[in-house]
Amino acid sequence: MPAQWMVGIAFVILGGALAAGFVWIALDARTEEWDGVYKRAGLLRRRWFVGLLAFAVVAFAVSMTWLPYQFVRAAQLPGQPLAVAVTGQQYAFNLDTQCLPTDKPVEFSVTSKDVTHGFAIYSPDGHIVGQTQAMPGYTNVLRVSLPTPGTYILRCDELCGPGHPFMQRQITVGSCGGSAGACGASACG
Amino acid sequence: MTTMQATSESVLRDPARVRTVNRLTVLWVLTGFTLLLILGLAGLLMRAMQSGILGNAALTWFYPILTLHGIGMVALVALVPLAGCWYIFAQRVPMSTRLWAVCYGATVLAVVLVLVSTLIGKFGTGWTFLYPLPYNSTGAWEVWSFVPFLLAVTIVVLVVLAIDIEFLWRGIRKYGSIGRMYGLEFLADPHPADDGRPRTDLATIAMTTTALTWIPAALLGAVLVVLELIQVFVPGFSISALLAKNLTFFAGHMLVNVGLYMAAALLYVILPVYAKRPWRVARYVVIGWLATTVALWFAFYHHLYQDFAQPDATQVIGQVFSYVSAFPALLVTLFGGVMLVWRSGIRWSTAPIFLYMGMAGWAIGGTGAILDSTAGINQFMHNTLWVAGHFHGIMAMGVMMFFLGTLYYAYPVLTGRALSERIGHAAAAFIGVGGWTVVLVFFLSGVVSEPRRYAVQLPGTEWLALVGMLGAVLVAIGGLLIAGDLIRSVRRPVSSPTEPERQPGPAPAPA
Ligand code: HEM
Ligand SMILES: [Cu+2]
Repeated sequence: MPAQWMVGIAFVILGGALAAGFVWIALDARTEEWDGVYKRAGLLRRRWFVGLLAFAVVAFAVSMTWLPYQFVRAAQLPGQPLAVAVTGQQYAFNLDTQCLPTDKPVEFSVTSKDVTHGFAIYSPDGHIVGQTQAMPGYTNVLRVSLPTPGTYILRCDELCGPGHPFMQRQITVGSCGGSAGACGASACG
Repeated sequence: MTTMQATSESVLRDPARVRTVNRLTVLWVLTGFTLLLILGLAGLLMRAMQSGILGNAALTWFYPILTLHGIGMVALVALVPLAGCWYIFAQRVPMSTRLWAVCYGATVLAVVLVLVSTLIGKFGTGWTFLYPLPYNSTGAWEVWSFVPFLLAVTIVVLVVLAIDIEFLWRGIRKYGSIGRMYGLEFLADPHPADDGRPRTDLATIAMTTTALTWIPAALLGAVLVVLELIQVFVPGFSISALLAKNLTFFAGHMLVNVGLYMAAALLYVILPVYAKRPWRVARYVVIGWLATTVALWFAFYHHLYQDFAQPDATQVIGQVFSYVSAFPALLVTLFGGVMLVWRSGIRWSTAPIFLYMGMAGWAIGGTGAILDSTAGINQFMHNTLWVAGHFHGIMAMGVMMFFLGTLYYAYPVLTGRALSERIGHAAAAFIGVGGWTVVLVFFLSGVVSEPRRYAVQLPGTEWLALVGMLGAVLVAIGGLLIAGDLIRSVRRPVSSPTEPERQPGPAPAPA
């Protein structure tokens, strides 16, 4: 399942629970003395705080393994990666390869010639599978693995001028130049 | 009571001053509402362009309109709650009406400058004017159009700064110190004994937080503006894009957050009037606002998660403080507000409906924000329309609902002219259904990886923009209903406010 769907589901659950809570409280037409409510609210708040804190700490710890930065990715995706240099410019991506392997990590070194661009990798089914910024004067290194072969699209997702929505480029993952066979280390340098 | 206090009390009650304070406030509220309506229609127009029904107009006009809508709404989010807070504090300390009138004039000038920049100059970088895009338009706008834009930004920055400084200065004279304004004495003793000096209240604590955080942000924002202006006139000059982005978001993130927290101050004052329950300072409230003060300084790093050149440490710090900032919101303000309403027997007139909707918008939009402030999730959602979903949730369905609630509370009090409850309820329904349609479509578009700020949507997803546009039409109907009622109210007889709910002025500060 694409990461985005899981985020969407998490949002529907959490946001839906909040929305239900708001509606439920607004519709509760009973009345109660404030002093009593205030005392119960205090207890409830303490529990709510502990629960929220526990949730946040666990979520935080787990989420550290999702970090896209080199110190995490280099450990998670070991092996000699294919190095790909990317330069963004208004309104195109310049890459030193047309084809990427499925069987080893790819390491994009991304920069820009002019303004800041985004560098978002869209999978064949249309979801972002990784991204970084293309910023002039800096090189951002993004290591990913692309196990699913197919035609991917690189799209700019940082406003870079009037041509922004048209700044994209196709790239093949898995088989180079229409030739049969997986794109291995030697074929795609 | 000392003589000094006695004098200032009589200054506050001087009928001429009261009239000026009320008039200025009505002026701000009506101007804010008018701009909200116009900028909301600009939002509708953008969704129409993105849906493709306006053809090639999108290519020329989407980005100028985006920039106009964005900077205008951000300014509203900051200035309209500021106007509400100014009114609240003008009841307690002699806030200068002259300074506030100058601020109003400057804001009108800023509106003109933004219109010149975007509609005449076609300046189209989005409200964040990310460096160095303003100088590299590939022909869409000329660099001159950046100058009025920067001046307008400067005006907004300075207006908030001026009132913050005045507020702190007068607050210190009234309450004794910044510590007393924060209520630090509650940390030592949850029930401090009456010591004959004025005690802080929730609105003061919130406003103190925003003032203390805005002052450094305004200064760094000013540094950025000056550097950018230099480059307009000295083309060889340039700065680091990463540094500029850090400055942009330190100041920009702070600006919308101080707006949100000033809006919370309005909630603290107005909701108790309708719930008929007191909303008091307690120790956990003070702790919550102190945490917010700290979190505000570091949470902005979440805007730079996809800048891998940024140190890894700040990325992690950004996530820690983004999470921290959720606690006070959820445990103090939203929990407190909901508890205030729960089983209070509240009568759901228009004002509390909007206030309550605003709390829901803050909570639900905030959920989208917290998810996206997780760096590993941001990797997949950054700069998609998910972002538009979360901030329209917080700002449009949160802060602006607090504003409409404030309008329905304050307008009759300040002018003596009633607003129709029937129209108010209808407007709330249109705005609630339409607004959440707009927001949920943004979230859904983010799930399907639709980038934000695309004048043309990805092939096959134009229908989402169309659904969003229909939501915006409902919002517009609601907004026009309110506008029509405001216009008609001018002909209604002026009555002095008698309803207990409609007593002028904020709820008294807790003793
Ligand atoms: C009818 C109501 C509204 C509609 C239909 C609407 C629509 C839009 C659209 C289509 C965008 C551009 C999204 C993109 O990046 O592709 C946008 C951006 C934005 N909107 Fe709204 N909006 C509405 C109300 C509001 C309100 C009430 C606020 C704040 C109080 C607000 C604040 C913003 C901001 C700050 C941006 C970002 C601009 C930028 O990217 O530079 N909007 N809105
Ligand atoms: Cu772009």
